[in-house]
Amino acid sequence: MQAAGKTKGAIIIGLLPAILIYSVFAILPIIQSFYYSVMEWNGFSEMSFVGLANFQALFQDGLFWNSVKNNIYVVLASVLGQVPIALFIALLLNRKLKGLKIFRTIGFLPVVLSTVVISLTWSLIYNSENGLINELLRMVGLGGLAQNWLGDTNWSMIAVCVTVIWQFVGLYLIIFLAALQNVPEEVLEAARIDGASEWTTTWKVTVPMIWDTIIVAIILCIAGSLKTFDLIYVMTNGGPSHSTDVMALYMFNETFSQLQYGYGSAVSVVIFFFSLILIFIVTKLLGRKML
Amino acid sequence: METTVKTSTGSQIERRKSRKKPGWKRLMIYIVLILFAIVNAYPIIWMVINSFKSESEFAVNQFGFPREFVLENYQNAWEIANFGVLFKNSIFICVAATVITVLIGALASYFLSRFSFKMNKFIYTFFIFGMLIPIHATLVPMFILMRNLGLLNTPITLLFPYIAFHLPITIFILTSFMKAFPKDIEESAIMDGCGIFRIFWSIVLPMSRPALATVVILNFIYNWNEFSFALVLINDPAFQTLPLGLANFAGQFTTNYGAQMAGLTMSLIPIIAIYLMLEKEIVKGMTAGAVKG
Amino acid sequence: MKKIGWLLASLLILISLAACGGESDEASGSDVIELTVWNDWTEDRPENTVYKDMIKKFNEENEGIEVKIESIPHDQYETKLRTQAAGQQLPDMFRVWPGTRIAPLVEGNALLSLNEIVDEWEGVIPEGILKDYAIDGEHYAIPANISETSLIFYHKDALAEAGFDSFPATYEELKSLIEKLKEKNVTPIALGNKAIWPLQSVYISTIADRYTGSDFLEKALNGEASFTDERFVKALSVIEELSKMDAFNGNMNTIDEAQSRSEFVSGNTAMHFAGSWAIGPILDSVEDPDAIGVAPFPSFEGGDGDPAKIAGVAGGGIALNSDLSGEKKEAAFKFLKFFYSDEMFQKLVKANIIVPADVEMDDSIPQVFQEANSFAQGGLAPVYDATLTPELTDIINNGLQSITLGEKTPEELAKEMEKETE
Repeated sequence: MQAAGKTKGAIIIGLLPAILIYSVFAILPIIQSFYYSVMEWNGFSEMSFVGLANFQALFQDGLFWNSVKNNIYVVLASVLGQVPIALFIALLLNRKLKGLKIFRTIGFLPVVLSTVVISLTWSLIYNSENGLINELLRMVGLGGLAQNWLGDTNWSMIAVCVTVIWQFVGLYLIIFLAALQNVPEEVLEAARIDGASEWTTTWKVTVPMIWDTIIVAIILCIAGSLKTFDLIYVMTNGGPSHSTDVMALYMFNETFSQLQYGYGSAVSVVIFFFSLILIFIVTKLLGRKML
Repeated sequence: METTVKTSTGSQIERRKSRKKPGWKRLMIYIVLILFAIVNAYPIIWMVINSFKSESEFAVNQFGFPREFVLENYQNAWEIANFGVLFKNSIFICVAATVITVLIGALASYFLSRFSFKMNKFIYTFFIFGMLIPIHATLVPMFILMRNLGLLNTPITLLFPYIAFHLPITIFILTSFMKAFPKDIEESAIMDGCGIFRIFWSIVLPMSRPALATVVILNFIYNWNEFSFALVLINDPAFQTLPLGLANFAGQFTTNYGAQMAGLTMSLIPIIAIYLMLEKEIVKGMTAGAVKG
Repeated sequence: MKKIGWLLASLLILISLAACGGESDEASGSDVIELTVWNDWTEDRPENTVYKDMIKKFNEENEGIEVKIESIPHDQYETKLRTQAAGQQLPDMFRVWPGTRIAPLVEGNALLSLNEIVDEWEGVIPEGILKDYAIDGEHYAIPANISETSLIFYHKDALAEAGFDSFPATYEELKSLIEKLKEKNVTPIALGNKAIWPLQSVYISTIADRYTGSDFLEKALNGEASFTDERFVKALSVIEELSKMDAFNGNMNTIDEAQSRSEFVSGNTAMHFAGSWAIGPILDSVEDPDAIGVAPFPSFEGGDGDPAKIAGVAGGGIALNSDLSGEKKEAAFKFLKFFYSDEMFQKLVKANIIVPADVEMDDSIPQVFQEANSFAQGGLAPVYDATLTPELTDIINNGLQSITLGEKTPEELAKEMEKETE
């Protein structure tokens, strides 16, 4: 629809509330935080302008790059883990079989669960002494494979990633379920009458029809995993010896434990642009103009 | 391969068939789903079980059933954490923030997805930026902003950051959903003499039900569990929300796990209720289809 | 859709009602002086109850003053305090930790000097402990307790079974005890280092002091000595040695301090190294308190430090906002004098808290507590994280964990610390 006259007014009225509240309470603090990134400030004393020194120091800090590396693992695990699993389960649930409602509900539970509970239970599952995984391995005679999952720097990131995947599958599950409602039954029916197998129907008809939603999910996934904080903060706080440190965690510790507000803000600026670039590349690759 | 093709021709035929003779495929589906369900439900079951254990029992027995059920945990959680007040505050903040976010978000999404105008792309991108901000970076600036606006420590303080920070994801999801609607819906509505807002209210919103339900659930969860803003922007215990109260069980040197689990269990009830209420909307197409078929 | 319209309308009314309700609350403060005190007393434990009771009593006895308690969970306390400080909205009074942790607050002129009233505690609290809360001669808080950070708790019968009637006095003997325990398939020491401070605060604070003596730390910080000093490296090597000989539980890096304490209490390990904060929780949760022994760290051969010392630091201080003046300031002073009194120290001792003042102890005080209390008489060594800068604390905390994982050598950690100091 082309904007003209009356429509223009309507557009302004329609967008204004959202733009207003978003600009004041989200963009303004963000700009403020960008401003701190060129300052040296411990939060108590006077600020002083240091130019790009914070960024320089940041790019030279091995611990920062370590957190970037770990964060990329989280992004990969989320995109390659959460999205396919969620899509698979959504396709299974999107049919008229008895008792599916209960599975839909249970599938969503991890998303609503407190990170404290998630962290406690998964730490018990991973525990090297009497954890569920190691006990199971020992039971089937594979005790040699038992690991100190969260305590060994070779395994800790993998263990954390599995938990992260588990936590958010439910989120994408409902997004996909909502999208699947828009796939008209008639189209699927037609495909089936043409003799297409369920497998073919899914790949050739259903998935292309919700492709946009899949990209939306992937973008949400990237944006979410680059900011990931809560679960890792409770579960390992980046340890042992920084092996599960991620960018937001690094930023938080620099800001509030080390009292370097300027430096911490510089980290958040980098996270922002990093996400932007990544999302830009992904949308280009997947063929959708997002930004 | 042959059999697969045959058994899956036509959903109605299949349904009739499978009712008579449950195929191996259906069995597989159930097995996969049951495994999925066990993995997902385990932590919740663990939480509920441990909410009945005494502190000393939790220390030695973290896996099994409680030897005796300690109902006191619930009473303690309710009293120590001042749960009554926290519950009321949390529900108020969550409902208000969610309704406002989704309404103004949906309105914005409608214009961003259904109209082409000069600033469209720019405004959309502007909103999407908000998804990329780690909120911990904004704690200090947000605090200073709220101080300057005189909005610290009021019952509505948290509404502002909650709405602002969840508008991006709301708009992102709703826009992508609304874009998929066929072009002709508005055209025919306009022929019928409907105004733009009328179309939004009576046609686009009802059509977006599954996506609306999704963003309502998302917003509600985010707001319900949000901790950092609540921590720094609210001092007065009278306006605190649940996550703050739940954190009180963990101290510097000890944690009262029993009461914590009891508190977490109680705090999960409203959110599961909301989910169950709205889940119907998400899968409404399915049930509607079933009626038709 | 009509429903949503109604919902929205009622919501708006609700919001405006709530907003009004909030404002009317503030108008009520008439001529009562209100003082807000921030703290982290959210746990339901005897120590916190003492503090809260003292405030309650103060409010009852002083009609014109109302001290309001606002408690914030410990883990989030600093985040909140620092955010409020950055926005210049600190409360009237707030709990602070000594040494480097109050330094930035002092630097930002956020705290009020207590030198006017510090004489009140002359002869009650030794100068050596009062100074933990002082910077450049100005006192900023009065200590309520002493945290001894390095105590060894042990099960007496587990040691007896390994052939030890008393706790080893030297490190060599401690190592042979560990070997004996391992032969008997008993995990020697329960350690929960997930939060990464225990190895530093509990272990290194005292072990390093045994090797280097108590002036070393300060000298290393101002450049007169170096962290690459052989004696300091030796102290770090103790951690390496202990973890190589499997003295700790295998999951030490994935469980927290409280969980490791439960492991010890439930008898899964023979020993647990922790601070005086653990006395109360341990005594409360074991069946027979007399079966638990407490010992100071052993002596280390070739060390320059005084083996009678134990790492410890003052705690429980409440600082005042530098904005306080006039009536409010006087009221706050009055409160501090009331709060840090003999009455509170006596109550704290009953709650198994080691206090900086002399308190008479009767037989009702558990043996473990009395012994732990007596260790402080040998003098206090500095606690590392109360003395190091936040950056250095972060490096040593993480470094010690890396040492237990075999990813770093003590020499490398020492070098890293020295580099940060330069």
